[in-house]
Amino acid sequence: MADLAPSRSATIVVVDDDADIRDLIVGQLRQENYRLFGAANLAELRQHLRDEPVDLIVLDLNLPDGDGLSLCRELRADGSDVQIIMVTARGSAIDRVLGLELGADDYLTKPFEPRELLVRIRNLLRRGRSEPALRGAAAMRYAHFGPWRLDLQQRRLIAPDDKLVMLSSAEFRLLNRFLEEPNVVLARETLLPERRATAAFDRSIDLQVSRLRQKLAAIAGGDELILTVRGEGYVLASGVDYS
Amino acid sequence: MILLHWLGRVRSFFGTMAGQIFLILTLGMSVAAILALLVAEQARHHDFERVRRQRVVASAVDIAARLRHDPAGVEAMMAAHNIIGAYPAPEGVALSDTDSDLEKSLADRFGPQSQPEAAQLPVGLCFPDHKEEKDRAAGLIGAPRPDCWIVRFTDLGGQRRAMALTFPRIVKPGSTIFNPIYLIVIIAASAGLAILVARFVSKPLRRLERAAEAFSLSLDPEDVPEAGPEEVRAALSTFNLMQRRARAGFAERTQLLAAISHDLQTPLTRLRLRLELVDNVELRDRLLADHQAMQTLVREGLDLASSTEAREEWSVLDIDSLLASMAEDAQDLGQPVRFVSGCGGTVRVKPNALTRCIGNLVDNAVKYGGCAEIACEQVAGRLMIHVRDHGPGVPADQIDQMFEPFTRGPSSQPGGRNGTGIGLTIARSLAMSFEASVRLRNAEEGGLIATIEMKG
Repeated sequence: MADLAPSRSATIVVVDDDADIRDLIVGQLRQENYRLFGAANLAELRQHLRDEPVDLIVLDLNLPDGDGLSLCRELRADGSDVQIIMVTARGSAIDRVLGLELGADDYLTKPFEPRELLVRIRNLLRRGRSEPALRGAAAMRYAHFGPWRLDLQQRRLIAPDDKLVMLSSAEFRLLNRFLEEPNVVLARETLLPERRATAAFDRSIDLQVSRLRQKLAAIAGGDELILTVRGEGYVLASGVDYS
Repeated sequence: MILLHWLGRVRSFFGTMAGQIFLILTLGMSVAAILALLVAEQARHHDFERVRRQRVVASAVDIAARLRHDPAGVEAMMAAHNIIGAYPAPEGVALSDTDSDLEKSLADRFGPQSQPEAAQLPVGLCFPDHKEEKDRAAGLIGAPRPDCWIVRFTDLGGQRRAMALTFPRIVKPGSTIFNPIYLIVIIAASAGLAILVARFVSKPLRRLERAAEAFSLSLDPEDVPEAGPEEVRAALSTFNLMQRRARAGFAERTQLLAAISHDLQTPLTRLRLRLELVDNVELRDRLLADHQAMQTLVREGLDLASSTEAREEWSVLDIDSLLASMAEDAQDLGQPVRFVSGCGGTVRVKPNALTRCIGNLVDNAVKYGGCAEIACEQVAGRLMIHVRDHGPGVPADQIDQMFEPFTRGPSSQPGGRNGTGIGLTIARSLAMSFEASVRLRNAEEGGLIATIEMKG
């Protein structure tokens, strides 16, 4: 979308059937110099979408004339790449996984911190449409590598006999990083970017890789998946398929 | 030691209903069988006596008939011992021990005017003058001597007759009741039947017991198949009804909780958004704290409600990988949680429920005990996950209360009191969804140990 220039202020539609909540959210976001519209139901939202280009939708899931999930799926099916943040009350039938699978870009549970919403909106708008591939991958449930399957949603490893092996968050991130670039040697510094890896973290990276290796080696054929390349880093020696 | 052990086992067997039915039936049927045999024995004895008397009567009638035809001749023959089995009665023998049954039979045959007298005498008294016969019959010494009966009656001619009648002795066969083989057969047969009956009776009870146990562990147990005799079917059907009602009541309570918690989220969201508009910073911070507290309550209420919905699929899981990764995640958040020892096993559970259950116990341990040590242990087909802290523990009399909703550790304890007090309730409810139990106990060296126990 070429017209999404940073200079133009972004257009946001807030969809919520509770007028107070809708107005309050609009009120908060107004400080940020966005073009804001409110919509009480799906019909109004569709109207806005027809009238002008919308960059982002803050979408409540339970609406009087339908649920946000199906709208989300509908928009994606039509090829729309408007950003969507789902907002839902906890304990609704849907969970985060399903929401993201159906094409939402982010997910918040009510009641939320207003600042949190603002941060997420900013992040999404800044990220723009540059990562459609990632969204595609996010819709995939399993990554196959070697004898293992990684359940990307539940964040656990599945052995060929369906036995589950649990991963810590750090291990999952690490493995995910390897899966993103299979058969590529990854330097230690690039493996845990969120920790701003320095030499001091090298130990901890080595430790985590060794733990991950231990878990992967629990079944036959899982012991030579992550190899050490001396002086360079580690490599995942396996192709990766998604399903 | 072994003897004591067996004694204990025997005692515990007779403590069961099957054992008691077995005991009662075995004893009762053995006693009944022996009594029946005693009665049969008595009847046999009577028959034996009757046959003996019939012989006496038949013989007496025969002699009486002969005497009627030829009194002198027959008497002479009797005196000369030419009739086998009938001899003149010895003189001067008093019949002290008369046989009234025999006399009655004789009176029936000869008529009431005959006034019969009859008694069995020792052979020596029957034949006082025939000692020499005995002497002659050396070879027969020790041979059974005949039975001898003295019979006196008045015949139709008004003549009083007296005779000694002898018969080869019939040896009455000995009693068979107290033959040990018979006793063993009777008792064994009784015991066999008793075992069958005891098993038949206790089987439906065992089924009911298993069903009740399943109900106590799981919130969503299967109905017990209603099969068996009518009383058993009625009991099982009542049990199923009770189970369904309990489940329905529980589900209703949960739904209510879920509905209230869920509906509170909209006003809480409004409240949170409006709080941004409050300018007084001090007031706003206090209101935010209140809002936070309410939100925590709602969140935990929803957690409790969703914990009873056992919709998750069962999976086989590597238990050590779960415990290690949970400890690691907690450490990443800066919490003092350690994975102390694993058990190298797999276990069939609902993984998310187990994860949240352990998570709750770990949160509690950190919150009230300052740290958490996770360990796993496999004993006799059971798998136990221990979460231990080194805090002050809980007074023994309050441990059971800890599982009630909104109960917190004793207020005298140091440390934050900011929980809602349903963490343990949720943990137990989650554990029930994968048929596990949660227990608390104080460690001997101080601190509290929470244990999740399940099949494994």
